[in-house]
Amino acid sequence: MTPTERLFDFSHALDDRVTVVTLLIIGSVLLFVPMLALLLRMSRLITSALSRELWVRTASWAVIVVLVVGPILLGAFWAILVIFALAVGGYIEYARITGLFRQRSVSWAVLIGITMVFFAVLDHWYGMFVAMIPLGVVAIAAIALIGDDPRGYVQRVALGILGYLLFAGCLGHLAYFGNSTYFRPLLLLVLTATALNDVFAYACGKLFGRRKLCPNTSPNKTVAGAVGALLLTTICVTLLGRPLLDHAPGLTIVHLAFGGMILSLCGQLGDLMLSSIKRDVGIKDTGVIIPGHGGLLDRLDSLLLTAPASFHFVGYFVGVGLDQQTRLISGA
Amino acid sequence: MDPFDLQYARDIDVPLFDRSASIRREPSILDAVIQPIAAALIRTWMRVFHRMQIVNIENLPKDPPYVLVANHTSHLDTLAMMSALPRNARHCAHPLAAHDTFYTSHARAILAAKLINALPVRRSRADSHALDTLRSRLVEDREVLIIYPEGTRSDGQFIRPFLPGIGRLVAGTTVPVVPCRLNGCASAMPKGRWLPRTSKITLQIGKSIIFADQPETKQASQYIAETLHDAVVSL
Repeated sequence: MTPTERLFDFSHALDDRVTVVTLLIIGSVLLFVPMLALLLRMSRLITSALSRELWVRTASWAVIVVLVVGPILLGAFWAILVIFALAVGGYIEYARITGLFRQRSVSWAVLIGITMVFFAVLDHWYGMFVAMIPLGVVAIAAIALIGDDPRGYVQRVALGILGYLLFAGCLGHLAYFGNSTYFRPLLLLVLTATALNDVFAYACGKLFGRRKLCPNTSPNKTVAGAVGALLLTTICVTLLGRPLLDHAPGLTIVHLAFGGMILSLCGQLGDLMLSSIKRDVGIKDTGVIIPGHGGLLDRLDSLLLTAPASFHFVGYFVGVGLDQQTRLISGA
Repeated sequence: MDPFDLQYARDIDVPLFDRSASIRREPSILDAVIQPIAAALIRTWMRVFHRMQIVNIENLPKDPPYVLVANHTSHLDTLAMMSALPRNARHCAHPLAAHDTFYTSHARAILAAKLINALPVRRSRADSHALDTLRSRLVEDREVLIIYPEGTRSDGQFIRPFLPGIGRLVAGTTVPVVPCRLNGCASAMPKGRWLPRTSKITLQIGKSIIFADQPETKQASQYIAETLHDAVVSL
């Protein structure tokens, strides 16, 4: 596969079985939920408010799916671009909820850092991608010196570095999947499994949940929800990812199940991480941009931690984009 | 504000497109680029075309927060006041602009918010919620407000009585209020005229006054408004 084909060619978008099956699952969930809501509403099992909330949430999901899955199908370039936009939007929201937006120079350093990391991703230059992480820390620690004001230095540097690592580092890893020949199935699998993991935790918690998981951080999470999500996501990843094993000699279904467990665990931890941040800051939602969901971060939270974990899982056992030409732009 | 305190944006629950017309608006990351450029252009314009002169600039408090109150005859007033601000006040200064003039159309609201960082005030009713927000912007966020307590532009012949809202804003706080007198704006760009003439503008800055000992009552607000009116008139 040439770089141009990988980045822009969408004529073979649906060649991979994992891609097709994942798309079918996403589509059927998006159709099933509003139908179920309508059915339950008509048999008067749920209130009209809950039914309407389900409709709004599903409609928002449909828009998110079009905006995220569409670019992935179009080509790796568009996938990387949309993840870059998510990283920038996510950082701006993060800066607004933590108060970091008042530190303009730190915020600009982080945004420039995010841009450079995503350049390294697009370029398929892993050396720069790795180097940008510590260099970004250096830049933030240096830029926070501007103004000769040591009050709050630790706070603005620490908040800046956390934001940089989450949005350039973690989401950069998600975008780096774009350099793999199999970026469509890999990205769709990680995104779908992460989203379903949230849904499983919510549904299992509602059905069987009794004991609270961590009432101080997030009062609605239950042990049953966490265990149920762990089981179901592991099964889901194993079944969905099964055809990918054909491209990875030496890997077995056990590896895949292990990957599913890591993904589920990290997804739930990401959820708790954002809950902790929101509790600490004292807000309910991180914004008002997605109807029925809240802010961008309310949706991105699990992905922030599943992205690097699944990337390095794949990277350790198989490698990501090793057969692809590197340094597309800088090497020419 | 305490530097070791996580204070989220005040407009966290305001939808993106309503933010420019929100009194709780916080600066966006782009404002940090746009506003200094706009302010530099405004300063150059005032200096070149209006040969702007600032008298007694040393009367301005050294650090924010403070309130600048001035007589109001022209849209040029705000540009003149903004070009008098020292470096450490430029990024946190907000002129208060009439909601019915500047915030009725989306385009104008975005211009007022993005270029000169103006905050909307509704002059049709006394809005205690908005006053509380402005007060916390002064006391907690340590910002600078530019206010015309006359409430509307006059014809430049005499200074109208000040409305008591300014008193309710600063009574009982240690925020200094600086009386300012603008001369020449009325002839450069009077009410109804849309392009300014190139005539001279002077800004006189008076000694700042602190109303920390005033209670938050109607009489005190009236007293503060009258005191400031006299201070501006006597400049």
